[in-house]
Amino acid sequence: MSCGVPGMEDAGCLFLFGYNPNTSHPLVARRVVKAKEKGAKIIVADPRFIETSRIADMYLPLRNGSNVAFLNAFANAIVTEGLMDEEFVREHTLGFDEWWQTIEKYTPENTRDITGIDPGMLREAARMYATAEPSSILCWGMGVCQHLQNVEAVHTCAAIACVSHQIGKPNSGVAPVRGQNNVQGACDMGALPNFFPGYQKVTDPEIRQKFADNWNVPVEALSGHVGYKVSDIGHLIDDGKIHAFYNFGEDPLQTEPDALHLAKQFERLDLFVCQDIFMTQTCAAADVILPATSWGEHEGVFSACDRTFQRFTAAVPPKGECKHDWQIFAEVAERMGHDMHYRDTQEIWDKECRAMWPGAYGATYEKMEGLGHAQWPVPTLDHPGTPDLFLGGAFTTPEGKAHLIAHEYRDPTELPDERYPLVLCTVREVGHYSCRSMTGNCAQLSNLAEEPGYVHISPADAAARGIKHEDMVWVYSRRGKIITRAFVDDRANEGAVYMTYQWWVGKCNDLTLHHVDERSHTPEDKYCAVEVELVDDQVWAEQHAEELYMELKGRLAENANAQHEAPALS
Amino acid sequence: MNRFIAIQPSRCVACGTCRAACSEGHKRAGLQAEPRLALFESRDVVASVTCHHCEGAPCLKVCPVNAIHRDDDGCVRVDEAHCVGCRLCAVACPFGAIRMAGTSRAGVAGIEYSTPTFAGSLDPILRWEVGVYAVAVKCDLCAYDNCHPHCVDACITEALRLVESGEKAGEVEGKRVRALEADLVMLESFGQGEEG
Repeated sequence: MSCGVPGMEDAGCLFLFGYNPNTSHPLVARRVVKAKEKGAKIIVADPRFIETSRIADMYLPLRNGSNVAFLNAFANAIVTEGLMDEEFVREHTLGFDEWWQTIEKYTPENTRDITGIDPGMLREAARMYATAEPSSILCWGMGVCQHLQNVEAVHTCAAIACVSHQIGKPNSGVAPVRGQNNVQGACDMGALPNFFPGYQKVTDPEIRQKFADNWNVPVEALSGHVGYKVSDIGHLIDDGKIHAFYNFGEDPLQTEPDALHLAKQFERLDLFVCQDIFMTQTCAAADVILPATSWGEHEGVFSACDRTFQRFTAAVPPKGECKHDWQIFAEVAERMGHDMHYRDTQEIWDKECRAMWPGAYGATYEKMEGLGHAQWPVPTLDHPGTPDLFLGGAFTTPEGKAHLIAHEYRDPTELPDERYPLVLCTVREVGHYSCRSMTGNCAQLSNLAEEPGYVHISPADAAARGIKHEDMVWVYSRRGKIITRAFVDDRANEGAVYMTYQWWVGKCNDLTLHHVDERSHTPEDKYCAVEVELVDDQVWAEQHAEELYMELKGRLAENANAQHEAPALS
Repeated sequence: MNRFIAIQPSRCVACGTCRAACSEGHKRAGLQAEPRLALFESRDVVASVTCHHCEGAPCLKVCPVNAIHRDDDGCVRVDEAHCVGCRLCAVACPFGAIRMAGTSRAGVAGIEYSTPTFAGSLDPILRWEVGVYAVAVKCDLCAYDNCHPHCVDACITEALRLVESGEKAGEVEGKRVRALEADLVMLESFGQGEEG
């Protein structure tokens, strides 16, 4: 994010594009409510009437999958309505003419058939966003990132902020909130295939030398090749390029698209290691399970989506055989012949992060004591941290200017047809966190939201299929068929259905399409074609869903019981 | 003195934390874990719906076994141990604030999981499960914890609050004035319409 989350309260306009804070980040939703109470204008663009739409000044119900056409037309309206800050564009950006050649073609009028948005409304929204005082923030979430044209949409969002000069001043700019807790932290610390900690490129020989020296290994030991992405693992197993997979704190058989196919691919691995805190479906498929500690048992530093480092401490000591993730990694490294020793997390933070990443040097454990925090870049010990990036239009490109990039619109990969007439969009709901491996073990939360979960469907689509609220239904796609419960929802748009990826029985990832974009390799989780059908015998359906759930629970419990058996000595 | 939980819908973010806190608090006190607030979501409004502790509480009047009573603090409460599960109160409540809940047999007496015998779309009032004694549950303003409502504390946007009559009298007066002003504006505009 180019701004801080607390600063969202003081913006003049919040434009939420493909982002539903109420279900993914209720604490950000609270900031949106406060911003509204302080007088901010709220614009929501989302196919579904999300919770924030209710308090929004403008709600634009764009069609599923039409992001880039919508954003191009929005950018077009900013320029043609004379809302562009020409001086800012001249002084602080590059490539306007080329950018405009593409954007010029996408008017609010000629994109209407793609987006379904009234041109007058789109122009009014563009005016509200571009003219808001003192600043506007363009927020987006997985509604941008998990589409085929994700990077393209991000480029256009950034360009919109630049041409309207809604970036480079306090509480402005772009706010891509993250999909998971501490995703920002994982990226910051180099858990990406192309970066060392602090976004230092693995392809840069000088950077490799710096890390080789720090880790006391020959520079040749550090690969200069960009690694593989998690979404590529399945087909790389098929291609014979991956033989062993060390999976850490993730349940891909629940969270990755086309999970039925992925499970078959995992079976071909020579070695499959899982490091987790609960017996997940993925752990059950592993050869080796390394039991880690949970958030309440360990200490460390999280990064919030607005680059804020926050230190947290352990509430209780680890139980049983569990070890901290960093201890497990160090012991594995040790057994593989590399000398790796740390006393505690502070030593790791000081040696691996602060010493190696100039932008984090000032983020000491002392500064983050108690409720303290540090927002990077924080280069010196007395630096106050940086809530707002690019102030005064000082961008971090080699030229110091923002690059304007535009893209042509493309249709999503799997369009609805006669057999599969509905768009399935995977979303979040507030009752459980992520894949539910943690919150599913909390009795109270399960009491409030339990299997088989829901498919949200518009009243018109439900009526056409004879489906009532809470009826059990089949949902099927070209890849799989699952049973779940219908939520007849007047907030869902006609022609689309919405499911969350957390349910084991009503598992939407048995239906989703595994198709990734060329740049970021992010799956197109927001768009595939499905059909929904009422189950004839409702009582049988209830029993069937219960049985499926209990079978899976039983299987996982059996797998977990192996921990009580003494390992066979060979 | 009358007391009840009120909600400001413009602040509610539908996070459901009130329901989780309600469920947790009552379960710990040995009461039914069923949350006593329902979260209602439509295109226009989001709000937690719960008991208003009505003056002429219909639930209290229809209870055949006197399991519902009004306490000295004005709060209408169900004695879950005396309730016979006749559902009359749930039918009579004008707000749908009374729900039926029982302790499932799953996990006890060698029964691993329950076998549903009804469709999920069946009205909760009509549900019946073998061996499950369902009783009426409703908001008791957290009587188990010195009448300190857990939902109000849990609300992250301060959308929920406990209204106590003495303290809020001035606010009611303010609303009367505002409503009167709005009416005057409306009357004036009607008047202009007639003239034009």
